[in-house]
Amino acid sequence: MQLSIQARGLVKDYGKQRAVDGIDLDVAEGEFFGFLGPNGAGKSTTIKMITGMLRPTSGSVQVMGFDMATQPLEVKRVIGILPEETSLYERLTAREMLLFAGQMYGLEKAETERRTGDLLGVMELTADADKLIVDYSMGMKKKVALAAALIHRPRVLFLDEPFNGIDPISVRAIRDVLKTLTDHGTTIFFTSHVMEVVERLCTRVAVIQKGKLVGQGTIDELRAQVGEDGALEDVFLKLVAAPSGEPEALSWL
Amino acid sequence: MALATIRQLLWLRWTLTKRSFRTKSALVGVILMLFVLAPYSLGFAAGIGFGVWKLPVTDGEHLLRGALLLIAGVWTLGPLLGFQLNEAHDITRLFVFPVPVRQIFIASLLGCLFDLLTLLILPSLLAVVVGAGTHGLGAALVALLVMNLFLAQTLAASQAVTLALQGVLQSRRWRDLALLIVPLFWMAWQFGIQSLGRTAGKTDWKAFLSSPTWEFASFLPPGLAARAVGAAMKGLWPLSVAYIGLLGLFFVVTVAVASWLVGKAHEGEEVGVPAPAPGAQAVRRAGRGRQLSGVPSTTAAVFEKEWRYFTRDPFFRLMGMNFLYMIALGVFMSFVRGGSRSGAEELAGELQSSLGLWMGSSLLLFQQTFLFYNCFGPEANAAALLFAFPVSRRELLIGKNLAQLSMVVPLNIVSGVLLCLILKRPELLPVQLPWLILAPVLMAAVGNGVSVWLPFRVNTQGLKARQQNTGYGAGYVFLSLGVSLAALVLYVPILAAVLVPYLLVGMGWLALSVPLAAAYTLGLYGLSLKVTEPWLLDREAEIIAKVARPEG
Repeated sequence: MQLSIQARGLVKDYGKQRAVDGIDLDVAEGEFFGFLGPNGAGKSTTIKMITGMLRPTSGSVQVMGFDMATQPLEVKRVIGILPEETSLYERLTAREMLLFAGQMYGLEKAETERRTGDLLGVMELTADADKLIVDYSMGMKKKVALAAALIHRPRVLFLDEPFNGIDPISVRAIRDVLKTLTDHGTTIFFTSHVMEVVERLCTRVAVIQKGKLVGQGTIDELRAQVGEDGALEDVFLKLVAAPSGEPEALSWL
Repeated sequence: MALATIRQLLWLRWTLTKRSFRTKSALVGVILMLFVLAPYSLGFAAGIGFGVWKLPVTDGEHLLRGALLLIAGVWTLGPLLGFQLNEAHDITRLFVFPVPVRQIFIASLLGCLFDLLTLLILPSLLAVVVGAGTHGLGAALVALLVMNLFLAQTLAASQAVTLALQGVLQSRRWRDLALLIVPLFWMAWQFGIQSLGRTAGKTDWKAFLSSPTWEFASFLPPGLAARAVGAAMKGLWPLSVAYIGLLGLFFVVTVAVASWLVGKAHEGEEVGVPAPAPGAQAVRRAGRGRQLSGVPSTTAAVFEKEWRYFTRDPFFRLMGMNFLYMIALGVFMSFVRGGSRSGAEELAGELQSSLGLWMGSSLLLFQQTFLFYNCFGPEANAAALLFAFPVSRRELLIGKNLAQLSMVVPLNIVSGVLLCLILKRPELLPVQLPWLILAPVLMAAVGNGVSVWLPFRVNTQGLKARQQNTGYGAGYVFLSLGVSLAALVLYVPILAAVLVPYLLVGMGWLALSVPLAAAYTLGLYGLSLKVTEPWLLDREAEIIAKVARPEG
């Protein structure tokens, strides 16, 4: 099995607080890998460390065989990132942003323009392509960020909550794009709170709770691990040991 | 019930106002502002009080008209000039609660008493009451009533203006525009004060005070308030009552208008926001920014992106305004100096103009360090995107530096020529120009290293656009200042290359010293690239953490 992502002993400390505590991850090439966890569990911190946006306190990361610590540019050449908080140049238009991104990935100008047009079309942004991104809605910004992450045809794509704040029509459009990508062999590392989407798309899943991995495998393997036959949501709740039942404190409701 | 609600709303306003000073830097800023403004406020109050007390009653009334007009103007325009998305001023957030609009408005008016601007103006109003009191108890009581009415009317007018423009004020376009308007306003204010100071002696004030313009202005609320106090000081009680009535009428109308605006906002209408025309916000594709050829495409991409940001980002616009301000200040000062020179003082004048020239150009260059010494600060959250690209960091730095220099160097050349011509020192042009061209290149060399090791977050939220410390505490600021000061040593060879020929060995030597200085500068720039590239690769995660805006 050829590994796309291999993380070993990833740790991140913020002062005395340990946000990520010795995570080991193996993601195979072409996998649609779901990375789940409750709010504040350490999902975004882990993605940032794997993509080089945050320096780990300790541990190592390899992407497509390149070491993030010693070969950061080689890693960046093969990955695309959609962070949870979109980090775009908001004073550029969507078209300018995509042309800029294409050039920065070293694409030929004509090819960049062709891909820009295609991506704007698929993301249904053509009509607004020449407006400044700062004036876009959150969903539109997400789509531009995704398009910018796709323009160089990455071999590994990191998506941190890609469906947050996006309408159902756009969710379907993005889902179709992601499906096409995996069909072409792209590895997708994906976090989401929408269990339905994870269940439908992901081939393997890892669950993180308080900075530690509490489960990793196919959804059936996770079901077997917790002895739960139901939906992924139930498996997830069991893995993170979420409290169940009606809260007594709100009995007055 | 109504009183309890208003008390609750006032508590909210007070708490939010207090919390806006919760950071040390915000608190220090307010204390410094108080130190700077309090003497002006007290001086202004003393002047008005003394004038109302000692001047002949008619003159005192004119003085009061002018003073109250100024106060009302500052107060009404104040919210526009200082408006930002401050939750304490945003009353629309209260509309979700079952509270009558009337109570929200009253609480909003009373809440203005917690504003710094209000506190600074209160001494002046008190001084009017004290000054009027020297003309009798009746005049003091009228002044007390009138000043309260004037205060309420001005606060209501201020709220009306803010509410009327709320939709516009909170829009991104206004905030961008305000970043230019506010410094322009202060520039005009400063130059206006300077000019007034020089021409005040020549103005026929008697003719002005009896002009129709002044008479008309005196029938606005500040004028009516001054007339009411003046009439009371003269013992003309019916006239005073009539003016108070007119002022009261203004107040009622203002409150009615402001209440209507609050009601409109309550109904969800954005007052004052023009409906966007389809496609109106689209950026003209013809304006594709500056193109660069003959360099790697990644360098060209960074260069073009930087130029688009120079023209679109409020931070760079504000920086551009500061450059222009420095030039304008230099030009203005040289005009002032030019008028006072006489033949006997020719030598002193020359020295003065030389000093003016070097000070003007140094101030301009000092402003430019903010651009070069924090080149990743304006990237903000997009720094994560920039560093995600697999671009050679050398090409990235060159792209940024080329963009910076292509903006700064032409500006410096124009400024140098302008300053030399205006100060009538064209012979200094061959000395000034090499300095103004080479210093920014050296600045870029030093700035690359400083930007990597000491990045700052740049805040362009609301009307504030400043560089702010993000996490290292005061030591970080001092370290940054220390490094910048230490780097001044590197500029000495360039300065010597232009000053030694001019002052000691003859201008002809410039032909040799300037190319040597250029070689020195380019050499340092090359060295800087070589050293900074690996530093940058190593510190990208730290830079992202330093320059990104905090979430929420």
